[in-house]
Amino acid sequence: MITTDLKTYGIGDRVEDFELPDVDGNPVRLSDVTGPWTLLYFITTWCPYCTAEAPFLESDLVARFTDRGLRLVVIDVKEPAGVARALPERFGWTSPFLVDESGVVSERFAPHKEGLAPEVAIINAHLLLDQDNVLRFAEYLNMERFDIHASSVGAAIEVLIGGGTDD
Amino acid sequence: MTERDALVVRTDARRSGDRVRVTLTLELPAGAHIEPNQPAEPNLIPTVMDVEGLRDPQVEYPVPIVKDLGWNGLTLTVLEGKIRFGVSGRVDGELRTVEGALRFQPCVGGACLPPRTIRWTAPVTGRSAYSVLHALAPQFPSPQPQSPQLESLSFSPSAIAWGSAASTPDRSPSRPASIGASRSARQREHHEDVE
Repeated sequence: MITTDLKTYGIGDRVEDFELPDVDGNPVRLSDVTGPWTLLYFITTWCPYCTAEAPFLESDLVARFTDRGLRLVVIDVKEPAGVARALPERFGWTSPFLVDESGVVSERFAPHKEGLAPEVAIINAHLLLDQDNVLRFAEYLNMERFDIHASSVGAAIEVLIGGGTDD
Repeated sequence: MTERDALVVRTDARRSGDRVRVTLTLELPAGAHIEPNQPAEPNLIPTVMDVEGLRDPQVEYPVPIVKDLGWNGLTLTVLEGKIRFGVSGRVDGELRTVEGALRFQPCVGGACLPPRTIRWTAPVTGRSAYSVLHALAPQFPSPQPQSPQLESLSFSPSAIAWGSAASTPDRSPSRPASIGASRSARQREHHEDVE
């Protein structure tokens, strides 16, 4: 079934609350783990860009903004928990790690990329939500200018958080 | 939809005495690439060939080309286009087919796709054979061979498929077997002799 009738989120859209399990099967609601600012990061074990960036994601990128209210929520796309659990274990993440085995949640964040399924197009995406769960920034994988430190994401967060919440 | 949007595998297995040599050619669509057996970066997924039915099998991996893909300024090595692998080994007694599996991760259109494994069978007939597999990405229509002659293949523009008995994405059991495709439109492994 092709679910083309579902609206995908764009900048300025308020993201609806959703529930996904963690790697142990415990249900987690987005609203339970968000902060004043929340960075959603979409990943799979087979994404080489993700595993290259992963060592720096929590300890570098997010850590720079933790004292200003940034939280990280990682969402594994279309893999079973038994496979996905290798990622937080490998990289020592302490942030919430959710498993979207069906891909239904992730697809709603996916950009349209010609020739790519939503569950592929969303991988390695960085999405910034504000305290009202409004999508304020999104950066999707661009193989031509891939940066393992996600410098452009950090710069955007700096601008948005540094400027204070204007809500 | 053209042949260039599909993964195509050709095999050629020839025997000389107790030695068999198989040449396997993987054709990728334009703009797609896979990693070599020894990628330039440790996070990249290597292409790996497994062989069954041969003693002391040896695999000759193709030499990659250098390509600037913007990976933090690193220059990477990739395989693209028509990619040839050599497999050789010894056999005991009669051998009708050599079998194996090729595992690789295709990247195309600004993203990498799930790694997949293609099971291949090479008849030791002294003639070439080919298999037309399903589309590289789930959005690409599935190729529908309508003629045993590769040059005259045409494809159905309506079928969209993912997964088959011959080629499966790895470690993604939740991925649907097909999306929006009728059963008859799904791609199956297709072997035909080509003179």
